[in-house]
Amino acid sequence: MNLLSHILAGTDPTFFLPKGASNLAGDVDSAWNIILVVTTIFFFIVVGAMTFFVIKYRRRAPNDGATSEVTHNTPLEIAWTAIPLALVIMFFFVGFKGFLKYDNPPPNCRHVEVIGQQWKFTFNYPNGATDSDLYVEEGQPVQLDMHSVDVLHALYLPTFRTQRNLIPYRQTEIWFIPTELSPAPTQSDPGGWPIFCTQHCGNGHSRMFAHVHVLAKADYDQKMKELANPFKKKNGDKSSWVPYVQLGEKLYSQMGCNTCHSLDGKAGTGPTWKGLYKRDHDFSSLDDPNYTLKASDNDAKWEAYLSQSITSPDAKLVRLNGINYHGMPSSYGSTLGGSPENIEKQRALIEFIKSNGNTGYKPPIPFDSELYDADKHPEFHPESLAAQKAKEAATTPPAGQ
Amino acid sequence: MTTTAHSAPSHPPEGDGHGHPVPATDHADAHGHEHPKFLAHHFDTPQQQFDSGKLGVWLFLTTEILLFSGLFCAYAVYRARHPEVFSFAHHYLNKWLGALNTIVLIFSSFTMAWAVRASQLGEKPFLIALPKGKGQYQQLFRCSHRQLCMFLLSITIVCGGVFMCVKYLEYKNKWQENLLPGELFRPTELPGETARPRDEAKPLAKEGAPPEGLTAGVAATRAASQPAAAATPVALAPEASIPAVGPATRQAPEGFLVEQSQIPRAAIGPAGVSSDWEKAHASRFEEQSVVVTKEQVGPEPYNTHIFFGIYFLMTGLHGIHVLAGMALIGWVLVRTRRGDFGPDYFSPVDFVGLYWHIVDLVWIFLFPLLYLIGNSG
Amino acid sequence: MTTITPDLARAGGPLEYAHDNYLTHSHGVRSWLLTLDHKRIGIMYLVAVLSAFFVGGLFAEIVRTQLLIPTGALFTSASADASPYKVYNQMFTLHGAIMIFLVLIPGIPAALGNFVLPIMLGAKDVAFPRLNLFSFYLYLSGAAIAVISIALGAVDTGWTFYTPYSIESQTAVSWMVFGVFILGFSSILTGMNFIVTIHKLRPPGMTWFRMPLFLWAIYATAIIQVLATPVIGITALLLMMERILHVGIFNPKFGGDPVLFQHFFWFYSHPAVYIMILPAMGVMSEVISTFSRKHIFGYKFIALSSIAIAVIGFLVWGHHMFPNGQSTMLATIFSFLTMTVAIPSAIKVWNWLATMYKGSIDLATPMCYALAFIFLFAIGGLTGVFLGTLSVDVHLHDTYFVVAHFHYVMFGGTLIGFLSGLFYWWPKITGKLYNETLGRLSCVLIFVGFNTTFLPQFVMGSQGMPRRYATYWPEFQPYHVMSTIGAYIQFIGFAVAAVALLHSLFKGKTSPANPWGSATLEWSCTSPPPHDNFKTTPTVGDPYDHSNLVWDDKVQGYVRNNRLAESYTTKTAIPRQPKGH
Repeated sequence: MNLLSHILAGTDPTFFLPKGASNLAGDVDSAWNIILVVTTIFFFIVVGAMTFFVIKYRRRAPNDGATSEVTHNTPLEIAWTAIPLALVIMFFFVGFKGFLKYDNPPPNCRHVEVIGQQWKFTFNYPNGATDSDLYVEEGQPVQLDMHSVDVLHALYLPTFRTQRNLIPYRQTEIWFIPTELSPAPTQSDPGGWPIFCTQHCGNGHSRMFAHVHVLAKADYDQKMKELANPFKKKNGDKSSWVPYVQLGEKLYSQMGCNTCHSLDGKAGTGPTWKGLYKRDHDFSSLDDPNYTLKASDNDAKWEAYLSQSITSPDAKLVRLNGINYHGMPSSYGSTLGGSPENIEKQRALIEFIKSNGNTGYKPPIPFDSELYDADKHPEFHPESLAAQKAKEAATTPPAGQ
Repeated sequence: MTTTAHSAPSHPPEGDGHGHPVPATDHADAHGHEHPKFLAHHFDTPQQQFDSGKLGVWLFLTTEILLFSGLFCAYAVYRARHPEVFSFAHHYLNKWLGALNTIVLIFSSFTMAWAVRASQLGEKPFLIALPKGKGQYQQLFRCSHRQLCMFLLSITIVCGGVFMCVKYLEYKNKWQENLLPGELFRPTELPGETARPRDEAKPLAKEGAPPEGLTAGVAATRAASQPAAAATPVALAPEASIPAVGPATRQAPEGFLVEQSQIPRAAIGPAGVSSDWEKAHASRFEEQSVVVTKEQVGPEPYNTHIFFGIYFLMTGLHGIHVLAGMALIGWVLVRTRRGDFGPDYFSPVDFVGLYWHIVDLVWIFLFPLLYLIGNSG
Repeated sequence: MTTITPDLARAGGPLEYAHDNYLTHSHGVRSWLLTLDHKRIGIMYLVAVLSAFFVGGLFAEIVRTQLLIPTGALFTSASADASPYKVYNQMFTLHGAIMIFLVLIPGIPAALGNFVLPIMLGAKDVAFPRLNLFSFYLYLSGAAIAVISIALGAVDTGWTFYTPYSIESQTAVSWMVFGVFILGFSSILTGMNFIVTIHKLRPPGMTWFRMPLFLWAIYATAIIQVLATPVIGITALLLMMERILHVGIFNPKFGGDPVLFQHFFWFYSHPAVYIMILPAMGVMSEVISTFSRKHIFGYKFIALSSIAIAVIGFLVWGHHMFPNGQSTMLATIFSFLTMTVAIPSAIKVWNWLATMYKGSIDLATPMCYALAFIFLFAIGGLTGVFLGTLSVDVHLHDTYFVVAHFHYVMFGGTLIGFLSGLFYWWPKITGKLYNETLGRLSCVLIFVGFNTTFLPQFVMGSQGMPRRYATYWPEFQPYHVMSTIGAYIQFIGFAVAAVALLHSLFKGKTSPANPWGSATLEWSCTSPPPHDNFKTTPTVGDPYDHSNLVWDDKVQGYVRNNRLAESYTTKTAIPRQPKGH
């Protein structure tokens, strides 16, 4: 997360401005420079004149009077009105020219859908991939089609010199062409450049950021493939299924669960996931007034409850000390229901919840695990073990005959 | 409207408003003070006081216009974006009651203006007489203008009261048919139908349990903002409380036309992206059509509740101003009875009159904009 | 022309020598709470505004302290849970709301203007004294409601109350906006009062263009107050209806439009910033002319530029919303108009500098603050040009650059102007002189502290640091630390100013009628003024003609000397008089 090193590693950051890495930066930076020069000159004229007058014309005795009673000078007054007016109008045109670029994306933009919610961004790529960071290809125009699902947010990319608000149920757009590769991720550093939310949106506003990664074409294509299927991971040239618990852990931060649910027992906006599974709960339920959920209930009932509390949070509300706590915003549930992929993600999260702080938890086994191989791991295949024993028993004569 | 001070017979000659003192002999009042009772000490002449008050009142009325202007702006924005909502929903309003209110208010402005004139004439007599021939008159009725003023002010208050009663009737009707703003909008009828009585709707949901599909965020906001008042009678009814509408056979009374604009039905929201509210009320928006005079004109718009939000806000704010006006006229009535006003000093009546005229003027704009939307959509 | 009578001329005497003045005219709490005297109402406003400033300042110190460390020094969360930051959000919201609605908008017009306007005009009181008192009680009620809202769940939406967050926030938003609604009416009624007073209560000889420029500024401010404030009134009402009745006008869940709220809000709130700055500029015209002992340069242009700012100020509100979802065409129009509104302010600055040219400049405390104003307002105004330029604004919007800009104009402009006016009219209001060294020290401390706080914020803003953040990325820390240190220096500066003024009340020298040598009418009555300001309506001359004011050692102040006026010609400089004449 070291922005400074990223700035120093590249080109053209100045005292005032960070590195500019998009096609929009040139206009913005040159406008900035023009205005900076002119306004600084005027500032020094004003302050300089003021200081000079204070020193030169200071009063030395109480009855010292002014040495001039001039109260008008029409040519001067016209000049000091007309010149600033001309200058500010010039600034207007400079800004306008740059601004027009913002609203004229080229037709070959790649579209990425951006969804803002309290308090994370989700980037949905054209190939169906989704991630909480923005990946773009160097030199390719990108248009972000943005909207929010709860309150106003904004997407700000300082390095690209662009931002716009995300409005609930209305689409806003920005576009840019990245012109440089972003710093690669390292051990300690997620890499990329910052994306900030700049429209106050509640408690997590200062935590609502993301990264934009500008990749070369090959890396970009590879990344898109990876993102499209979170369920598989590559080991060299072999791909294998990601275990549910591992995927759940990734989704926990990627989908923003971490903004409200802690893993270490600390209270937050939502209940902590530590020891959540199979904890005694008091309920008030909309669809079933007699519903209860106890630690002694079986896995199926618990999993059904967790699933429903993600997709229909208000159906069963936990009651504590007579107060019904409301469920979480439905914006989360809508991204975890509906399609088979989303159901799988739900499954992954539930398994992750199950694994948290519960001793004796046995994770489900990924499809392609070698544990399914009865020969390699007979201990996990009792039926074949029994079959083997039966075979043995059948072929071994009883003792004593 | 209001006659100026200059035509009053015994009014002292006007000062120039800039503080030139008026010779004491020109004060025509009986008190004999240099400063008449009604003249505040920081003013030099009654004319200065009157002029200041007049300017002050006009400034205040400007702020009132600007207060309403925000609402007119909201009206303009929503009507421009959703004309079909306005041309559908205004049929829920009864334009005859609206017209009655308009006539009542215009009449009350007339009595108010006359009352200002009457208060100016003070104790001069008011006569109604019949000519009897030969230059003689038969006096039918006589009273002082002050008494006439009291009578006219009372009529004005009564007219205001009539206006508020009609308003109450209209609001009551809206309440009974759940034609309420925002999420409370659950009409039990379509325009022109007879309303179903409210109790026929299914009993409302238990408190504390928001209906399915409604976002928790909204439920939470409501729950949090009404912590003690959980027993609100208009907690949301589950969808099933809305009578299921049958297929497209609903009839409107004869000659009653429900227009639909040619603009495609707005999805939801000003820019046409869907919202959760719509999903919650989905059952009402199955592909129903309203058959009017045996023609299908199209389904009810999604956003009808917008109209009622604007309707209640505008007429509600206006109603509050009518009540305030009635109170002010009552105060002026009390002062008239006490004999405070005369040719020298009648500015409170004048200024309250100006306020009342503005209240009337706002209604004159509200009435056509809300009630008379008409066929052009 | 009034001359100072000898028995007022004693220096160092107790206050009672200034015969029956408005402070001694009547006694008892009721005589203050039910007073119709504009001077007493002004003092009550002053106490209220300064108290609110203290509270708002405390919140600012809390905000700055939080930002010493990137993860938050006061409110922090080790996990991803964000709920501790709600308190931070409440702190900056309250700082903004209190400063804007309770300090800056009423500030100079209500606290100083109420006192000074009738006397400077030559009237006995404002046009509607009872309405004036009512305005004050509306202010108190609005402030009380705002305090209640803090107790019921302090608002965390930012002072701008953008929907939909302000609709869904689980805090007492409705109470706070109701308080704003009431405060709005206080502002409207004060504005009405001032407009009618200036129109109708001017003495003979005071034509429009012989009015002091402070009154022109107050007049232009009052026009904005009357025309713009009702719109925040209806906006506040609509937001309350939205929260309570879910009307659906701003809430997109019910088909409403959140951007419409922004238009309504800024339609008032932009003219509101001109309500704040115009009176401060009026004070500047008075102070600079007096302490340069020179006729103000370009009187007519300064007067008309106030009106121009008032008018054009209504047309530029959209520059707060460039990337917020309005159309490109609208943004373009607003940017163009925003550029033009900068020009009248620039004209004023040039005129003030020209007034100082070849004047006789005395660096008394009010003049120190006036010089600070020119410096700070120049920066604030010039950085506004960056923000008015469309393409640059897309980069700077909602970053610390904006925070720095508005603090330079609102604090460095309005508040410094307020302090200048306070120190300028303090002898007139209280009849006491304060310690000049302390006064100047406070100015230096506040100036240094202010720049230390806000200059770094320009840089971190343009580097990409967003505003309203409780935590931030570590590379911004040096700027934040500098900012916070400056905040602490400012606190000391304000403490010194408070000491200077409070000390003067108890131990200060008695002030003569005209300690500064100003030619406006309020300096021709005693310090403090008598109850009804003037026994007879005064006749007026040029409010900036200092030619016949001479220092009188006996009085330790300036008096009018007709003999000198007769020998004075415009072509010669005023002869330097040895001390003691």
